[in-house]
Amino acid sequence: MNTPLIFNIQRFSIHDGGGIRTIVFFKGCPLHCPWCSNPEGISTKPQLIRNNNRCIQCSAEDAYHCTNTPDNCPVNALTCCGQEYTVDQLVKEIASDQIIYDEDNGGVTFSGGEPFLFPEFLEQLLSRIRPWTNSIAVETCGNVPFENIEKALPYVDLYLYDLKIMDEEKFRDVCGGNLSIVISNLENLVSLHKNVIPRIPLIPTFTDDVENIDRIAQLSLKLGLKQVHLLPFHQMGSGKYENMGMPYTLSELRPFTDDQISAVVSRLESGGLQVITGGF
Amino acid sequence: MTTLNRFQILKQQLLSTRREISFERARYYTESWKTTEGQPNIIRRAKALQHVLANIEISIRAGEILAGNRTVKPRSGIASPEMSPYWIRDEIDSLYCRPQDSFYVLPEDKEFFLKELYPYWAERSLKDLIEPRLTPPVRESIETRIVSINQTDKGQGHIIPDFEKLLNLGLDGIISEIDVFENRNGQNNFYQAARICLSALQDHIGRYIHLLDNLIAQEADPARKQELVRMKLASQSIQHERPNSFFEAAQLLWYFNIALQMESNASSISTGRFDQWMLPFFQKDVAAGVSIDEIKDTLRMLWIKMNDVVLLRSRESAKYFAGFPTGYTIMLGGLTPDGFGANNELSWLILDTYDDIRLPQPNLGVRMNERLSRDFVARAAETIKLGTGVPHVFNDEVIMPGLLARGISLKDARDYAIVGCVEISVPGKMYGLHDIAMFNSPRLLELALQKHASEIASYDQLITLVEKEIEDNVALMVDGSNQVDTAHGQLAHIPLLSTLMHGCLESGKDVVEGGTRYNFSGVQGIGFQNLADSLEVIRLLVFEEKQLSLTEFVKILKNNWQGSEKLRQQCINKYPKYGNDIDSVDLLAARLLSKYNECCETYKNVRGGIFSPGSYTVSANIPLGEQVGATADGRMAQEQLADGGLSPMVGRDTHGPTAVLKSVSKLDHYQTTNGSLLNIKFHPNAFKGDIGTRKFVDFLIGWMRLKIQHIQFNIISRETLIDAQKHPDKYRDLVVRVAGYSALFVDLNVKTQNDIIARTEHN
Repeated sequence: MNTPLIFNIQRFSIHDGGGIRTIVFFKGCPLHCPWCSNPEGISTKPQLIRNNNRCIQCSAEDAYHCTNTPDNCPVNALTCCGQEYTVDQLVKEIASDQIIYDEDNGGVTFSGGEPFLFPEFLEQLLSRIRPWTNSIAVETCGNVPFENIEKALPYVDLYLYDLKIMDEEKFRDVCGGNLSIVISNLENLVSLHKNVIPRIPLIPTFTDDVENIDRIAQLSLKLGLKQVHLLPFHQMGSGKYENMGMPYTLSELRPFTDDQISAVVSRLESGGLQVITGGF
Repeated sequence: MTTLNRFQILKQQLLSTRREISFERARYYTESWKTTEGQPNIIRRAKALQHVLANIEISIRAGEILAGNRTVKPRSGIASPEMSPYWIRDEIDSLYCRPQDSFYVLPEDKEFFLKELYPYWAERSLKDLIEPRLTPPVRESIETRIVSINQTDKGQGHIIPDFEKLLNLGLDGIISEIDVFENRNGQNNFYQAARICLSALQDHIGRYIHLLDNLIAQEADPARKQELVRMKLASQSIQHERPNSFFEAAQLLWYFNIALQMESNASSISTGRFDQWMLPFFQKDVAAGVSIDEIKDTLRMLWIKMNDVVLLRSRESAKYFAGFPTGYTIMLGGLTPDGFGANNELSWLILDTYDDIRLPQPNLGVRMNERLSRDFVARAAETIKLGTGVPHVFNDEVIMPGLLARGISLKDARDYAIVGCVEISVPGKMYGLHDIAMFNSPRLLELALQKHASEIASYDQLITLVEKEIEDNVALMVDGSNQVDTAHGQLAHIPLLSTLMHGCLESGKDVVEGGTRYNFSGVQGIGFQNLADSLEVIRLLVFEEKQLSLTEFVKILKNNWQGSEKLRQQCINKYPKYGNDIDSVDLLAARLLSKYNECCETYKNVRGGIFSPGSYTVSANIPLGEQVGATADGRMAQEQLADGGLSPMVGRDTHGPTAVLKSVSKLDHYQTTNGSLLNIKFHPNAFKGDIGTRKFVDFLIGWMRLKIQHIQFNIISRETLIDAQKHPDKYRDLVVRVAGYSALFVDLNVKTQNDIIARTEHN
């Protein structure tokens, strides 16, 4: 069984699905979108994070030059990203907030990275938590074999399904993905499950052109989907690139103005879609 | 004058005035006391109150629509040298420039105090009665700062009178009740004292009627004249009889409160379940066609007045109870006597009018339970989101079973309310002496380690030692508390208040003599979070990893980590801390707090009740922290202790608010029947808008199901975020919404932090 590393378990998440949720982030993604706000989720391997904000210069001038290990850094300026869990351990972690997220439409969200890179592990996990979990959601990029998605079908209440660049070649060049797989998986999924919401990262020069937006709208409407989430560009994840020694290539891009976002929302709405900006 | 305008002006009037000290009450109290020598103290107290109420200057301030002020100048402090003249003498020159709760003393007042009041009360005060009663071991425990005994220099408070009875019987009705019991039991000093107090209050109301007559005669503005006439008619109506309307009920309630403040200049003579016993008056008024706006005005006026009463405390006491927690604590919701959700239309109006005033008083709380309408919980959440920290929320699902286990009847447990900050009481039936002592557990560990470190060979031995020290020091705390209690019984009678306490008239005894139904002594265990965090560090660092010996470690602590910053950081960051849902340390905190609780509850007090443990600090975590050297959890010497009583040590909880709730829920909340306190901070963005309110309610329901007694919220402002940026170590637990995800504020880079600060301002 392909076992994932987990890079974060975020409790009390209140903006990624209904109610209060625990989000489990799987490490590893088939794509490498340059705007990704969780770049630590791209590689499947453990990685060293150097958070200089925490550094007290006990052994070096800063965290970037430090030769300590995460174990002997006294302030956790050096940490290892990506931890192994057994299904049992993860069930226990997820269950720890159950009494709190049980209300309303709260529950658990699997995110990443890409949870469907680990279908057997995910299926075992889902079958264990399904009996007592109010709501289970999965965030996916869709760029995986459909059988990976299919395995989880009986257990999932909601799919948050990314639609990014609708040009085959550009999607491959920028994100490293295969658009026809993403689209055919979405078509299949929608035919088998009623609760799928496309999520559109709105990124200047990458996904914000009228043609791209229209193609997402057309596909969504064709599949009978009613709602999409629009996630406007931000640079909140840029610090993480620095901490991981990864280049961040989008620092020149400017965030959208409210008017620009409204224009995109109107365009999507004019086709008959309901748009939620920023997710739940 | 438009309604809201009126209250804004009254509010400004309160806040813009320089606070002064008034020695008027002390003057008349002393005058009377000098003439009653040789008489029983309870009679002397009643006559002193009578003399105060008959002579103290009274006023109706511009724009007021309810009568009754404790002092002529707004927000003045009043002194009670009969309780202790000493601290006033010592601090009279520094009262105006002290950092917390300052007061101005006029030169002539200072002279009057030093020449007249101090010489008379020295050797005669309550303090003089208590001091010689404390045994050397109790003194030692106090001097070593493990135990602090309160109320050695102030009168009785922390009690909720039966205001429902007051409003149902009226003042004459209560006097008739005294007659009934006096006929049954025979005359005694208590009945006589109670009668003196009640008729003194009626005469005091008479003085207001007379004052209003004069003001009416002089008033040129017909609209204002009408208001004054209305006040006068209400005062006349309730001087003897029970109130007939919501307005009259509020007027009687307020007169009685003023008199209670004169009788015992003490904090937290709390209001209780206002939305329950004012409801019949509200319903009657509404049926008679009184407008909701008129009712709202009465409420707003009452809220303003509750902020006029501020307490003069000693410098030390002001640190423990910083910012005048006067304690007009009102509980909303809860359960009916039959066990149904008890929120009603008036509960909503109280929140609505609080939103208009937004001052510290009334200190609103909501009693939450499975049967309270979610609609009302959502309404309360809206007020909490305004950011004043009001209302805080109490959990019937755990408090009620706790009270039942203490022998409180089912109906009384359903009627519980909160006194002062978080102290659990039964209105009109319990004298809980809720704040008699505090128990500084990190200080206990510090001294035990300094004395015994070289003898301790194992972790188990250390825990055994700590438990033994808890037992020994609780015994001393109990002894000291009982001595104070005894002295109160001799010199701090409150016959007026006792008339509104079930059992006092029946038994012919004052509250301080054990006259009411339930009698507890409330003692607070402080800093068990730091205690558990420290012991967990010692367990791992010293006994498991053997990185250094216990003696070496104690030496480092004694030197306040000097030259050991790296080790200190390791102790902070590398070992489990309470507040992160980690069983090893959470269960240790639970075990030690339970040990404390179980020690306390085995002791009896002098009024026939037992010691009831609590765990809250108010603001005392700061002064109590000043008394403790460096602790093994990485805390520096003199640094504050964990706040609240239940909250994790500041900056140590890094797994979000639900992990905090989980940790806190592992403590045994059925045992802390004197009350406990949990603070949680949120950024305003966390619960923005209607969806945010809904999730806030979800969070509260989760909290309720975890059987935690109490919770209060800080919704964080932009200023705080800026401060957090400057002092990140103090704000390690601050969760902010970033964009597609939430994160700990301190983990974000400066650019992102700036972005979030700017965005908050846009909101």
